[in-house]
Amino acid sequence: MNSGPGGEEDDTPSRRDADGASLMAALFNRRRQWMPLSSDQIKIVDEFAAGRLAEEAAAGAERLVRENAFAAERVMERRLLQQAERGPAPPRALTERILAEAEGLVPARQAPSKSAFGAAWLSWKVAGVAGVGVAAMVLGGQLLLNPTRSPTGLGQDARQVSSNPTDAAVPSVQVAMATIANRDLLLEPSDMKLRPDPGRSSAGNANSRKEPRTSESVTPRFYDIEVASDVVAGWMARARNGSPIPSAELEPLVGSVQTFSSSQNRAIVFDEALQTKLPQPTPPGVTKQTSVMQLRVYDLGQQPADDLLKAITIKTPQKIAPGYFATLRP
Amino acid sequence: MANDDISDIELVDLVVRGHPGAFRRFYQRHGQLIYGCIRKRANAADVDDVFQAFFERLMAKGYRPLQLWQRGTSLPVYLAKVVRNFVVDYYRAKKSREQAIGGAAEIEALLDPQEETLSLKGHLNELRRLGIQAWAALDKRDRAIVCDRFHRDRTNDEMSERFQLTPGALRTALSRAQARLLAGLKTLAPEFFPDSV
Repeated sequence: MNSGPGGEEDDTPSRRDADGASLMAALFNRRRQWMPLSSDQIKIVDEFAAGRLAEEAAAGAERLVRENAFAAERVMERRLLQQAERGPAPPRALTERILAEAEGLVPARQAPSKSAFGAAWLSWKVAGVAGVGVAAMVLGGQLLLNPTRSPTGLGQDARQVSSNPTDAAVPSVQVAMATIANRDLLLEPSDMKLRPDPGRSSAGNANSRKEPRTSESVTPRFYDIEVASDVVAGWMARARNGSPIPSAELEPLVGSVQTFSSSQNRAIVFDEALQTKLPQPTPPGVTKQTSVMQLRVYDLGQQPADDLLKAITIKTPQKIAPGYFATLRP
Repeated sequence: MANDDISDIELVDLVVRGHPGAFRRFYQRHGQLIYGCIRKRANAADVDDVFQAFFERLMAKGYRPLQLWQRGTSLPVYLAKVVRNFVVDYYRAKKSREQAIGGAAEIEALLDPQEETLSLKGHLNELRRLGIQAWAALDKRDRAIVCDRFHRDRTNDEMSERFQLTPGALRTALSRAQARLLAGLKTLAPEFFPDSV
């Protein structure tokens, strides 16, 4: 039996001391030794933890546990195992179920804590995602309906939500017709060169774009492109009606949708002079003749554009911010 | 508890590697310890559920807690710590379910418990921390007696003189102070104590 703190025995308190002496020694371990225990020491510590040592043996074991960290840990371990052994074993059915689950014989149970909580978490996530989605839709709608105004006050959404609900999700660009008072402004220095341009695309390629050679190092002020006449006719018809055109259709005119999307919602205005180059409408029953039109598209966001902006008269009651001006190529 | 001839290190390595039969051996060796630790901490009605949930979590996480066990330290002591964390998390999650859904408490409850590899020093520190908590709850005289005896290693003669007690009265006072300290420790670390003292 373990002795009391002073080595003396007494009745009831000593019994309690015996139960707790090893744990008290572990609790107040001084960690002066970090030597793994020998098999003999392990036996001594185990006996001490079990309360089966008396007098000097108990005092010696207590010193060991107070000094050696491994002995203190051994006491903790022995006490844990002793208490577990004294307690009931897990129910057999539960043991069988756990072992079967581990060996894949039965599917893992949805733990109550996990399943119920998982459902709550899932609902939280769903609610979060739905909330974010709704917020995005509201915000997106606000941006479409109330676009950011330009610093000049002329800003207006170049993209409009179509009255057709099915078109609401299709990005579109606002278009309009315009006239230009001074066509001399459309003459570029490069146009004065008489030699043929070797880089010109074939007439059938509606997507071909040619940048002016004089400004290769900077963002070009204009592009020369070739577009099928019926396509141009369609654009102009919609421009007259004030109907926006899907961005994808305008790609050959102003570049990729992404490029245009980043251009601050600017509108495209078509020169009325283009009408003169469009083929005459064909009578019913006659094969439609399609030709290619040489267009020049000015990027009004690139300088110098002030002179053009002043000369252009836009024919629409709506306030728009002209971003591109499509006209005939001189 | 079932014994076999391989060490805890070998057994845990087999379990982690998914060796056939290794889990069964692990369960046979440590299942009762885990059950006992849960029984000490969980409500009686929840013990079986918590026990099963513990193993399900262990399996679902690919025996991650066992991978984190620092070889060379006591596996039972480490498992007791893992079980304690698990039971705390179990009831934290349960409390969250019973309260309103949403909010930080729910998210916190979902988080995995802190992963830690407990060293031998860590085991002793943990016990020391709980011991200090229990010691701090003692009255002033008991604190002084325990401190003189176990921390300052004062002799019985020194303590008798200091507390103005006869040797017999000192033994009784010391025994009772120790009992009260252990009773406090039992509330903090019940797995080290029998069901009734």
